[in-house]
Amino acid sequence: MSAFDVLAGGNTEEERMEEALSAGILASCDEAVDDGDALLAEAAKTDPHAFGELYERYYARVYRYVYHRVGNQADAEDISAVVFMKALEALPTFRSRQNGFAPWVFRIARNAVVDYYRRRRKQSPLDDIEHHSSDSDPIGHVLTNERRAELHLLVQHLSSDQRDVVLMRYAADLSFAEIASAMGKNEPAIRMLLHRGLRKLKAVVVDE
Amino acid sequence: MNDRDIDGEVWAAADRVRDLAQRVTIDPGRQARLRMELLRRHSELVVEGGRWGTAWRSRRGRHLKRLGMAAPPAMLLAIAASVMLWILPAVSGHQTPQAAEASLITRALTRTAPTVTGWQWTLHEQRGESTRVVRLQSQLTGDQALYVHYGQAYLYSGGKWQIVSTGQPLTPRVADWQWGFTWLPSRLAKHDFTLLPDRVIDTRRVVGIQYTIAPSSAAQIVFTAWVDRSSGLVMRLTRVEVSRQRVVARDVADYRYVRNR
Repeated sequence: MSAFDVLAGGNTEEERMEEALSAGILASCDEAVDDGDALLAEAAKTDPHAFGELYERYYARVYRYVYHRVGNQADAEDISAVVFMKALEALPTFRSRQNGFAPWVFRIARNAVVDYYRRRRKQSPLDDIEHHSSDSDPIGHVLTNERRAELHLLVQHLSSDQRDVVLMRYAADLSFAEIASAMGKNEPAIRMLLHRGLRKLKAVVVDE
Repeated sequence: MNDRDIDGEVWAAADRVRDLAQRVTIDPGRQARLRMELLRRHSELVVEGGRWGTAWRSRRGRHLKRLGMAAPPAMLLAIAASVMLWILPAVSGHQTPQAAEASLITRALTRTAPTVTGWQWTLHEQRGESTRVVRLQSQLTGDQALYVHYGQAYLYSGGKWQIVSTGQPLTPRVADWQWGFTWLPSRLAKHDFTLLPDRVIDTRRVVGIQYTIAPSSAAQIVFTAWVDRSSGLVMRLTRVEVSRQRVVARDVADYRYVRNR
């Protein structure tokens, strides 16, 4: 809302009305901006409300990605907290002109999960639950119907890159371009990884 | 999210995987507690204090300690102002006083802009012998905020970003002066301006940023922004249009801001 008060002489009533109508807040805003999250991240460097909004936009996406990587709620919550703490501390280094915010924060998330498994291997070398894919080992033979619903178990049988692409796409809702930027690959490579990962999962997740 | 651009043989798998991937329960209490902790941490890290600002503050502090001269107050102020201009490049690492001043003001404005919730401006228009005064007021709503990044001012409104004016108008209408204080960042980014000695406007010490635009060989338009260094906000903006060495128009806009947070 805007108020006006025109002083001194010379103005007609029409001129006063025209000036009042044109004095709206949005009268001179020219263009919409596409990469709003990157700008929000710039704003968040000094404005806590902007950081709070980024957190609300990305928490669920980060959490879902992390949850399906580690498979339990407690660790997923702890790792997600680490991701946002690291994002906050690294915010001054974020450059909106070079990065989108989504690729940037999911690089942090990916590294946080890698660190988690690295610590687990150091603590319990025999407790490594990261499996490597094997095309000769049909997934469906070892999983019950109940466990077919646990995506984190299913994606363990993919390669690490296939797993990340699948989870960034479907758990974190990233675009191909964002996934490519987060993983340091080009888009055709990402699409290929996604296709191969889905082909492996198809036998288990789709009721024939 | 449309996956129909991948091979059709995996569409069904993609749909099922998406369904499984989204089927996750999030503890809202935990999410809210983490948010509070993050915002608390953010307040510790903001530029004026905490680790983010430490490097800048300690460098500036060491240089300023060297200032300590005994002289009459007016002379001391003049000497301090000139020395400040001289040491700014050394303190900030910039090559020229213009670049150093631009950096200081831009940083201040980046911090301050989101705290502005409204402003009032009074425009004095002089054309020849006639004068007109217009006073208007602008108020942001609760979901609107101003931001300045990379030499550009943005309005964040209802979850969307809009650029506030893509260029400075040569002949601003009254409505354009509403955003007059947002023209400065792009000019500062170019370092193409003259610094004028400090003066006082409305009890605030302000620095003058003056730049000239020549729309034709016979005409010149001189803008002068008087800026409060601590906030980066423009307190007064003047426009003088000269044609064939005669002043044909003079505009003076005074700005007063309402801030919270």
